[in-house]
Amino acid sequence: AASLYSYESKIGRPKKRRKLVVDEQKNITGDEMKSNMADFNDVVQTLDLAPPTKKLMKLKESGAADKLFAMPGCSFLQDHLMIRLYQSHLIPHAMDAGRISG
Amino acid sequence: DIQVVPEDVNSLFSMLKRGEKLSQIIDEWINEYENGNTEEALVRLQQCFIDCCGCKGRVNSIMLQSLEYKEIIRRLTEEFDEESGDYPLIMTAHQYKKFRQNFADFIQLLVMKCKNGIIFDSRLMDSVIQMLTGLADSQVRAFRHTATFAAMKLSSALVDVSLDYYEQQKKTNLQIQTETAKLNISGTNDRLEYLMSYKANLDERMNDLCLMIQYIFKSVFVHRYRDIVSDIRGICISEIGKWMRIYHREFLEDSYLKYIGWSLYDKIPEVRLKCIQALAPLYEEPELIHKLELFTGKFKERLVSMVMDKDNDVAVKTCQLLTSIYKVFPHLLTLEDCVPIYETVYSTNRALAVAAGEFLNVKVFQNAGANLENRELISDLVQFFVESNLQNHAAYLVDALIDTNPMIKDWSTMVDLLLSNETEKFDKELIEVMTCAIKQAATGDTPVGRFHGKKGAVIKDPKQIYDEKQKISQILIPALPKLLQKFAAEREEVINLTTIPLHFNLDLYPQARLGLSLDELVSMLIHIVEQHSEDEVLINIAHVFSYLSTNIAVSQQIETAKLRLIDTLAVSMRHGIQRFHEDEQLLEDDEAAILAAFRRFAAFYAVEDLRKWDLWDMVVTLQNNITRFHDRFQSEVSEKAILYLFLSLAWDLKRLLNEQEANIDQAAKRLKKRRDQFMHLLRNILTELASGVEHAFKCLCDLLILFNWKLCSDSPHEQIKQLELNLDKDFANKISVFVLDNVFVDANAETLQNLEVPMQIELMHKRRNLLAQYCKLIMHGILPIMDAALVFRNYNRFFTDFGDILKTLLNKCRELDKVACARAMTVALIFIFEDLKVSSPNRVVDPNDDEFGELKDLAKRFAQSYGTDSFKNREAFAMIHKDGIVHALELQNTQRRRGQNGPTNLAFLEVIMEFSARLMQQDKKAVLNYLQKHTNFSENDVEKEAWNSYMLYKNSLMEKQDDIQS
Repeated sequence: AASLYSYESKIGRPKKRRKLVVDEQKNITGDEMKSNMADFNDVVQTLDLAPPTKKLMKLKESGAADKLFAMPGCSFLQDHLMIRLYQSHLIPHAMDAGRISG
Repeated sequence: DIQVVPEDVNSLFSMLKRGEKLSQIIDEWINEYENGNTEEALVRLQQCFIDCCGCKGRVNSIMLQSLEYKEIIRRLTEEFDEESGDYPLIMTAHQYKKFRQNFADFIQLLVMKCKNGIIFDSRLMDSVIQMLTGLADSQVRAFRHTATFAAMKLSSALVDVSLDYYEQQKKTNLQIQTETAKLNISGTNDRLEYLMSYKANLDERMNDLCLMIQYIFKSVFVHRYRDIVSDIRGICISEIGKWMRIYHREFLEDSYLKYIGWSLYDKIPEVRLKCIQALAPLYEEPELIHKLELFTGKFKERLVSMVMDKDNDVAVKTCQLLTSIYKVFPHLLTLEDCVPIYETVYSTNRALAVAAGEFLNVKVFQNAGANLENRELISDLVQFFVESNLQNHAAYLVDALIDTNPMIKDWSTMVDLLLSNETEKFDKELIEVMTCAIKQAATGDTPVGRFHGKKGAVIKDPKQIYDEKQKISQILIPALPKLLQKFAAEREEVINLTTIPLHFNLDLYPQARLGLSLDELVSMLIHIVEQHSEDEVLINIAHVFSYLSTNIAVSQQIETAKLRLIDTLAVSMRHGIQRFHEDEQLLEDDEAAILAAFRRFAAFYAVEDLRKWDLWDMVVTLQNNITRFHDRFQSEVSEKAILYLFLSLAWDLKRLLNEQEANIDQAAKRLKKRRDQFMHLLRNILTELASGVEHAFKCLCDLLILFNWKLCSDSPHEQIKQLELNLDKDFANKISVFVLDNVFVDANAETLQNLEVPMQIELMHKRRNLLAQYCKLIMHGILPIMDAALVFRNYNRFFTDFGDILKTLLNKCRELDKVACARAMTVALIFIFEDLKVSSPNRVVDPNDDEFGELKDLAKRFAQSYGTDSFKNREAFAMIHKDGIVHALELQNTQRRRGQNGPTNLAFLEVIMEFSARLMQQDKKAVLNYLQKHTNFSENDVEKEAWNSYMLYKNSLMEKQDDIQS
C-alpha cells in the first residue's frame, strides 16, 4: 500500500491529499443538543426589511455606484435624449496637461 | 491476511462507480450468489461496500466466516492509508460526481431484485447489515459516513419492499375472505389452503422485514442522527422522512417524529432544510394528519421561528410548510405566531416574501381566486397594509402577492371601490396599492432592492406585458379623469394617480374612440397644475404630457391645451419676476407665488425645450438679487433660478449639437456668453456657500460634463468647439474644497449621530452623490488625475461608505494613466503620513503605531490594484519609489534643518516598501542607487527607529524577485 501511494506522490500529484479523519468523538453530546434547543438565536435573524419609505426606496435605486456614475447629478435632467447627450460625454479621459489656467 | 491490490476494473465497486448497466451487473451477481459460489459472491458484495468507503483493504470468505465483524473492521481500519482522507462519498472529482446517486441506486435495485428471494435467506441480509452496522459505528469518518448512507438507503429499500408485501397481504386477505365464503357453499376448497399457506409465508416475510428495518433503526439511525458530521445527520433525517411517508403505519409516530423535531434546532442549515423537506410532504396527506397533531403543537414555536432562519432556503421552505400546516390545523397558529409571517411580505428577499404572500392568501385573503369576492378581499388587503404599518408604500407588498393572487390586478373592482364611498377611510392606501400594482404589471419590474436569489428572477414576457397594459388602459383611460377629479385636492393620491397614464397604451385613445376621456384627462391635469405647486406632482404631470406627445394622434388633440398651459405658466412667472424687480420689497405671499410659478415652469422645462419663453436675463437678475427675498424663500427660489438657467443652457446646447439652430455661430456665441454668466453665478454660490449650494454644485458638475472635451468631437463647427469649459485653478480648487468638506465627514460627529436613521441614510446618499459627481470630473477630463489624491487619502477611512465609488475612481484613473495615478497615490500616502506626523509626539511617526499600520495597508492595497505584471507597470512603480524617496529624505526641502533630530520622514520608506516587490529586478537596483546617492547622512545621524525604516526599505530593494514571489 505504502509503495503504491509513495509512487504516486513522487510523480507529483498537484492536489494535496487530506489525512484520514478519525473522530474521537462521534456524536454531538446530549448537553450540546439540549443547549441547541434552549438557544437558537444564532441561527435566526431579524426581518431584513425592504426600504420602508418611498423616498428610501428611490434612493436605493439611484444610489448604487453604477447609477451614480451614469446619471446626471441634477435630478431635473430627465429628458431621455438629454440624458443620452450627457452620457455620450462620459468617456474616460485624462485631463490634457496644462488645461487648468490661472 | 488483508492484502491491498490496485483497483480491479471488474469489481462491483468500479462498475458501480461508472454507473452503467447497474441492472445487468446486479442480475449477474444474483445469479452467482444463487447458482454459483454463494460465499464468493457475498465477499464481492462486502468488498464493494469496503471499496465504496475508499478503503484499500480486502476481505475474503475465510475472514467473513471465521472472524467477528468487529475484528474484520479493525483490520480494515489499519489498511486505511493515513494520507487519504478523501473518500468517494465526498469526492468532487468528475468520476465521483454521480457516485452518491449510483450507490443509492445500486442498493435500491439490489434489494428490489431480491425481494422475493435471497433477502430472506438469513445469510445475505444478516451479513450485510452486520457489516454496515459495524462500519457505521467506526471512528473512521469514511467508514461511518459511507456505511450510514448505505444502511439508510438499505432501510429505505426494505421499507419499499414492506409496502409491497403489505399490499400483497391485503390482497391475499381479500381473496381468503372470498374463498371462505365459497367454502360455506361448496364444502371443500384447495385454493383456500394454498392461500392460507401463502399468507403465512407473507406474514413471516413481513415480520422479517420489520425486524431488519427496526434493527437498522436502532443500531444505526438512533446514533447517527446526531453524528458530529452534518451530512450524516442530514442523510438520517432525509431517509426517516421517507419511511414516515411510505411506511407510516410504523414510522409516523411521535416516538419517531421527535428525532426530526430535535433536529430542527441543528446548527447547520442543510440539516434544518432536510428536516423541513422531510416534514412537508407529510402534511399533504389528509389521512395522516391526525398523527401529526401532537408533534406540530409541540414544535410549533420552533417552526414559526424558522421563518426568520438565517438560511434563505430554510426560511422559504418553512414558510411554505407553515402554510400547509395552517391549512390542516387552522386553529393552531395564534395571531402572535402569524405576525412575523405576515411581516415577511416586506422582506428584501423575494422568494421569502412570496412564500409569506401565499400564507396570507390562505390565512387572510381566504377567497382568493373567486372574482365575486374581490371587493371584500381588496378591502382586507388594504386593511392589512394599513395595519401592518411597516412600510408607507405598497411596492413590496404588491410584489409579494402579484404572482399568486389575482385580486392584485383586479383594476375594475379597485376603481369601483374608489369611486364608491365604501373604502373612504382607506382610499389613499388603496390608490397606493393600485398604483404599485399597475406599475409592476405594466413594466414587469420588481421593486428595487428585492433580491431574487439564484432561481427567483422574474422573466419578463413582452406579450404578457402588452396584454397587461391593454387591460390597464381599457379600464383606467375612462376611469382616471374621474379618480383625479375626486382626489384632486389630495397630494399623495394625486402623486400616485398621475403616474398611471405613463402605462397606457396610447393607441387605444383613437382606436377605441376615447377622445373624450383624453380631453377630460388633460383638463384635470391642467386643473391640478393650477392647484398644486409641489415638485413631485408637477414633474409627474409634465411627464404625462411628454408621454402623451409621443403618439401623433393624441399629441394633435392635446397640443393646443398644452401650449396654452405652458404659456400661462410662463406669463405668471414673468409677471412675478417683473413685480420683484419693480417693487422694493415683496410680501411673503407674492414671493410664494413666484416660487410656485418657478416650480410649475421648471417641471415642464425638465422634460421639454421651452425656448419660446426665454426669461434668461430676468432670472439672472433675480438670482443676483436673491438676498432681497425673505429668508424662508431664499434657498428654494435660488435653487429654482439656478435650475432654470442650467436647463436653459442644456437645451441650448442640445439644440446646437442637433443642428436645430438656423444661425449656429450666433447661437453658439450667445450660449457661450450665457454659460460664462452662469459659471460666474455658480462660483459666487460656491465661494459664499450660499443657500442652495448643494444643488448648484450638482448643476455645475453636470454642466462641466455637458461642456467637456467631448464637445470638440461632437461638432465640426469651430464656434461649438470653443464652448468647451476650462476651469481655472481657483475654481477647481473651490470644487475640491467643497467636496472634501461635505463628503468626508466623520460619521461619529455628534450632529450625525443625533439624526434619525432614515435621515442618516438620506444624508449618506447625498454625500455619495456629491462624491460620485466629483469623481466623474476627474475621470472625464475636467480635473487632473492628481486631484484624485484628495479622494484616495480617504480610501481606508471611508471605505465602508464609499468603497464602490472609490474603487471605480481608482480603477479608471489607473486605466487612463498609470503614472499619473501612481503619483496621486503617492501624494495621498504623503498626506496621510503628514497628518500622522502632526498628531504624533515630537512630530515623529512611530512605525509601530496602529494608524501607521493602516497607512501601510493602504499602500499595499494600492500596489495590489496594479496587478502582477511588473513590466507593464514599471514606470508607475518607479515613480512611486522616486516620489516616496524624495519625501522621505526631504530632498525638496532646501532649508531642511538637520543635525538636531536628523531627518523626520524616514518612516515613510516603510510605506513605499509595500511597492518594492512589484519592481523589476533591474529597477530595484536603480531605485537602490537613487536612494543611496541621495542619502547624505549616516547611521550615527539618525535615531535608531528611523534608521530601522531605512534599513528595511533598503533590504526590500536588495531582495531577489523570486524570493518575494514564492
